Amino acid sequence: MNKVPLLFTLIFFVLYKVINHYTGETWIPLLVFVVPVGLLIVNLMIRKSLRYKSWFLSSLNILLERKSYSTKSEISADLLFDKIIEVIQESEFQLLDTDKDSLRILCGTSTNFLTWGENIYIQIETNEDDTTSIQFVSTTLFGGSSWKRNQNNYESFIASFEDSLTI
Amino acid sequence: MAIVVNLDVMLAKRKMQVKELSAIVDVSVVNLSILKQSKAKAIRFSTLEAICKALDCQPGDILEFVDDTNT
Repeated sequence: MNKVPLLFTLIFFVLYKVINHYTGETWIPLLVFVVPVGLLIVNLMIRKSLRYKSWFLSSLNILLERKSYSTKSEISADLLFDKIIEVIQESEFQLLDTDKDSLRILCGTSTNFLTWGENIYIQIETNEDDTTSIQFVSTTLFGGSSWKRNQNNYESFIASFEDSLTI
Repeated sequence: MAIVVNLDVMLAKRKMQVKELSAIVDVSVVNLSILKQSKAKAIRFSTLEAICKALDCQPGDILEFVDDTNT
């Protein structure tokens, strides 16, 4: 499944060649691909900042797949914030951005030739019963299907977090 | 929580800060804080041994069972 971006790249290349062959013009196939390729480039450029969280999580952004999950913890919010950062740093995820004031964390999976990667937004909130909620949203950087990678990201994060509570 | 961790009591008795204990036992301050608040899911024997060694105490000084079924 990690080979899907590679397949898409090859398919785009073949389509480009076919359109180029039948139209005889190079600018027509380029025009067809400029929107999706441009979107991917923009997403890769802005993915590392929490400032663009609303762009990635907007329901109007139909070219991305998002999966949301929520879990609770009895650890206080401030301590949980530091704990999650520690878990991320010791895991396969990359810590990209944090905001201690609003208790938000951004981490991601790496981009390479086989996968575009995903952004993971974590929001920590204190509940009325003094427990703490962790809102977890995993979003693709390009593509309306993550091929279960979003779900796998959450399961991997939860497994790492639970393991880390054995001290 | 039925098992209460009295780490802060022992730290006060030994006049030691969490940071200092963290450096000695090689457990992060965050994890010691979670342990102090009795929010850890489990503790390894190696960690318990290191803490008891650093604080010169027994496991019973750190861990206490509180029967909370009647509360």
